[in-house]
Amino acid sequence: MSDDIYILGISMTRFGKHPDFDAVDLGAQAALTALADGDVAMSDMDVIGAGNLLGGPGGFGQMLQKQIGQTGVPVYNVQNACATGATALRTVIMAIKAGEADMGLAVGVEKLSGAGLLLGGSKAADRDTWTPSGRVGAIAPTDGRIGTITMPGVFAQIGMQYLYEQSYAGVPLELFARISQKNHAHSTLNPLATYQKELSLEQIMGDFMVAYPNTRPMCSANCDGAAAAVVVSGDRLATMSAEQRRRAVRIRASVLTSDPYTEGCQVLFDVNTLTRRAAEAAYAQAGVGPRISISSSCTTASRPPSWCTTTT
Amino acid sequence: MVMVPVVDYLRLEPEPHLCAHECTSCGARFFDRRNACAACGGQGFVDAAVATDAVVTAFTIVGFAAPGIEVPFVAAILDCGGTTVQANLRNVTPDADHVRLGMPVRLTTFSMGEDTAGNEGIAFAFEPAEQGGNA
Repeated sequence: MSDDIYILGISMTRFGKHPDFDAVDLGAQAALTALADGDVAMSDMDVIGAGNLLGGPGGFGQMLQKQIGQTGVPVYNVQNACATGATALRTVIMAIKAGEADMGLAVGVEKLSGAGLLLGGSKAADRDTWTPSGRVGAIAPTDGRIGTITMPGVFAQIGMQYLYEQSYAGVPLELFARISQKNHAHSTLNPLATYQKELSLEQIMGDFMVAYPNTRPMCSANCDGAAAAVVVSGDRLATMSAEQRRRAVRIRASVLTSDPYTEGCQVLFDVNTLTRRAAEAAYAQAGVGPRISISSSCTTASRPPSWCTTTT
Repeated sequence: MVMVPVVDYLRLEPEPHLCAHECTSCGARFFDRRNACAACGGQGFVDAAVATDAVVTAFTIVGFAAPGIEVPFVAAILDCGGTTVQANLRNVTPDADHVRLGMPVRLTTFSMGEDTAGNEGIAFAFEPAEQGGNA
């Protein structure tokens, strides 16, 4: 019996503002296209992994199957921040590894246009009296008063801390801008990217400063989109058509970590340690090293310092 | 009139300082209410005064924030004698020419105003340690 697991079909919507499509529409579009890509149907699926963090209906997986095929198979709704979609995929992989499924559908969707700052500020009205509440006994919202918890600000600090640790002697703004320039250049090669426009260093550095050294083009735009994959066991794939077998892509590694304790990590996220550990485990599982692998990255907010971390 | 600190880990007496929950097993320090130690699982904690002199190990100058938050402001990560602290910087011009990595700073407190009962909220920040600041 083979333990190998394969991607049989895969799809992604164009990312951007989709005011006429809700999260289920986008998820359905990705799922149906992935099923067609794999030349299979919902009736072939034994399990659904459904990822949605923000802007969805709640119970996204059940809502989705009510639109595209209500077969009664188990649905696992997952939330894991930037790795939510990847966790949906990994949930299906684990179900197949566990022998509970031969084939499954993983779908991830986010609906973020117009969401504004995802963290920060306060939705509560100011109180009349200074009354301590919460885990630090705060008498007022702490964002903006005791540092920042907005994503552009948090990742700016993570990048700056890295520069401090490396005794970087250059200009942080220019360094961050060069990374952004490279990323925007790459976007022109991706027809599914929200923005596909090359920007000059001057344009990036001169744009609105969201949280120094992060200018607006360095921050992820809030947008809508979905992706889906059909995952199949090696044994099941062996029974399928020659064309399906030819197109299937083997998953050599799938790893999930969370952030282990390091000093200061509860003040500023340590995004490096868990990423490094995940990469090391994935390379070991796959039996390859960084020189010959292609790493995949999940979407994330305001992540200009791609040299700080790569989500694998 | 009573002075109420912005968070419970800001202690105003005898001199203003931050106070961490220190794990009695491994010494890890935390500022929030704890169920157990994230580093070792220990459940015993003692109060530990945090140094009021610090070094800026990371900062950002926030130009866009939620409504009601005055911008720009400087948010920073500080090394307070080995304990990592998050705070705003005050009494410094909020631009990259005046705020720098490795800058020595010190704790300062200021009034948040009075509530309807006449009690005064007290906030904290860090300011440049050099004489007169660098603003």
